[in-house]
Amino acid sequence: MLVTQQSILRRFWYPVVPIDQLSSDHPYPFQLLGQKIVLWLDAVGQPVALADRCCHRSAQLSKGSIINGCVRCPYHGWSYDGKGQCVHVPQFQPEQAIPPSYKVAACQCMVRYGYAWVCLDEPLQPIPDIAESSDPSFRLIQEFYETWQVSGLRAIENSFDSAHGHFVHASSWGDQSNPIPPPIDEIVETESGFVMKHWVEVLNPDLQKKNLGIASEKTIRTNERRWFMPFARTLKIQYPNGLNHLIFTAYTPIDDRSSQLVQFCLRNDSEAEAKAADIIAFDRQVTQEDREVLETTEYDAPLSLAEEQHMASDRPGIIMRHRLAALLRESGETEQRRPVQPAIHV
Amino acid sequence: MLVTQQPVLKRFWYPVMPVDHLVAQPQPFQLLGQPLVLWLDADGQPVVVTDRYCHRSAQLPQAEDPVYRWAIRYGYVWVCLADDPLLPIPHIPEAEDPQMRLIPQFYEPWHCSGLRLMENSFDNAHFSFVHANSFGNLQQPQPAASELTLLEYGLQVRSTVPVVNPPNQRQNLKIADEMTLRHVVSTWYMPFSRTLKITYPNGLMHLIYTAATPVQDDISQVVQFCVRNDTEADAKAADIVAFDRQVTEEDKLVLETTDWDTPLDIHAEQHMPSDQPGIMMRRKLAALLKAHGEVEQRLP
Repeated sequence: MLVTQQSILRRFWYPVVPIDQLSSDHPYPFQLLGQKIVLWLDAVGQPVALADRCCHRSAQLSKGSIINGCVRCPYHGWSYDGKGQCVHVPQFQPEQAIPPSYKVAACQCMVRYGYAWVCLDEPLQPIPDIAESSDPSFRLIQEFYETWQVSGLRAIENSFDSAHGHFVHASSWGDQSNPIPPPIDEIVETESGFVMKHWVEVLNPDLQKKNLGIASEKTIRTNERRWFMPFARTLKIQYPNGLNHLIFTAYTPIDDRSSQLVQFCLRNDSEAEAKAADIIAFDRQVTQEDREVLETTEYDAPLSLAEEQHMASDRPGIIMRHRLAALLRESGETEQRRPVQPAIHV
Repeated sequence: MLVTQQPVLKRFWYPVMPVDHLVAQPQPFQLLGQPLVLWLDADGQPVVVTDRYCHRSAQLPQAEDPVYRWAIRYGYVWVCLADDPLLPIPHIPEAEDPQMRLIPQFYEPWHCSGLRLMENSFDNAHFSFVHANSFGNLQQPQPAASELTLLEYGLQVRSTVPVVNPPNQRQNLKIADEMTLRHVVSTWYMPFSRTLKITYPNGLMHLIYTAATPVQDDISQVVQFCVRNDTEADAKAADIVAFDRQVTEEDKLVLETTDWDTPLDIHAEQHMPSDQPGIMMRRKLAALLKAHGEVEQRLP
């Protein structure tokens, strides 16, 4: 599936940039589903997002500046407000009216979990609701914001795959001597994706012993994983001592072959019990292990099951393919693929 | 407009390479998507043929390979891909005047369409913003008035433009004032070249020739030289190039962000009164296509 060619994907919210990276002085460029957008903080400090292209001579607005809460084009200084309306043309006389056709497309934009989220069209679903984020016994720790050369589907199915940990994460928590994943307890489909419950026994390396307050060499993770279509998830890990480590991850689609990793975690412990820096350090190692493998995969991941081989633990990824295929079908789209590559005969 | 898909554009002359680049060895060049190889023969005359290396045949040029028309003018090899050019090579009398000096300036690919570069050259409204660090005045964004004359295969604009005269330019111009006036005559030669003849109040002439030679739909080779009526003792060529380099870089930063599939359709973009030259360029190019039975080709 080539994400930039499936217009239904424009109808989802995506986290695009930590709010503290936006300013009211400098525009911030981003590419979402192949479309260039520009973000900044408006006069009241709210994030806004526009198509990153002046309606006059198509220059990139994000190369300009922010003046009085508006983005000013670097070419002729035309300024646009957060709704995309041109509000100042320096070449005009003060009394001269600005034609209403001087405007660029605006995107919906809002703040949640410390990120500016953008939807390029009418949203089909709300921004994922994470109950723990408003629970005062939980703290939010920002983890990662970086570009990966991987498509969203490859990355998100990996997040639900209980069979890869024993290999990909052998240096962190995976137990290579015990590679058979325990069965998935249940998968319940929801309007926005599904909820999957399972447990897995993992190694508990030294850094984690400290982070978890668990001294044993192995421990049990009871996992509740939620998929939020198309490319986001939460993973709520409950440890036997009552510690909850909830990870939110989004693979925001930049273009057909790259995604912006957005990750933060929510924990019901305190900085005195486990340092945020240590928690990030462990998740950094795990995430890096995933990245090394995922960036080698074919980015045009097929929705059709016939093109790849599967095993029982691939069920979440298979449901994702079914749901995404149904989404395309219901919106009258067909799956777009790369042109056929010359076959390699074996 | 996708320049490689408009055959009529083959019927113009384009400067493709400084002659002295050919002294040591043959050189490749792509013109309107057509791979070429150029070299100097035993008599020192240019030869321009289709570059077969690009077709993986890895053969030396063969007798049956198309040979293209060439000319040498102003120190550059010019090529026309068709047998029947619509226009002669632009005539620039100043460039051949022995009283004046010709200074080669830039030869480099830009990721931008020729039309964007051409209209930018005739746009009095961008100086205050794009050139705010060189000669533009951010406090005075109103564009200077200009007088436009249509030519059969181009247009000419006359204007008097107040400009900032920064310290690094004062020595070049022999003008000490912080502001000065440019009397400007700009001529557009269809499709993608221009002269900008600037005369300063002290009589100094600084004429710039710029071509945006079309390499591919998204790439133009910028070929620029200037002609001056002063001497190296008055102003060093290196300093003159340095100032024009700064100005050109300022343009490049913005122009390379624009859509290279630049629309000829006036309704596809918004305009203001100072855009008149660019609008006339679109009309002239649209009329050229129509007169030759072509329709404007665009990206899907």
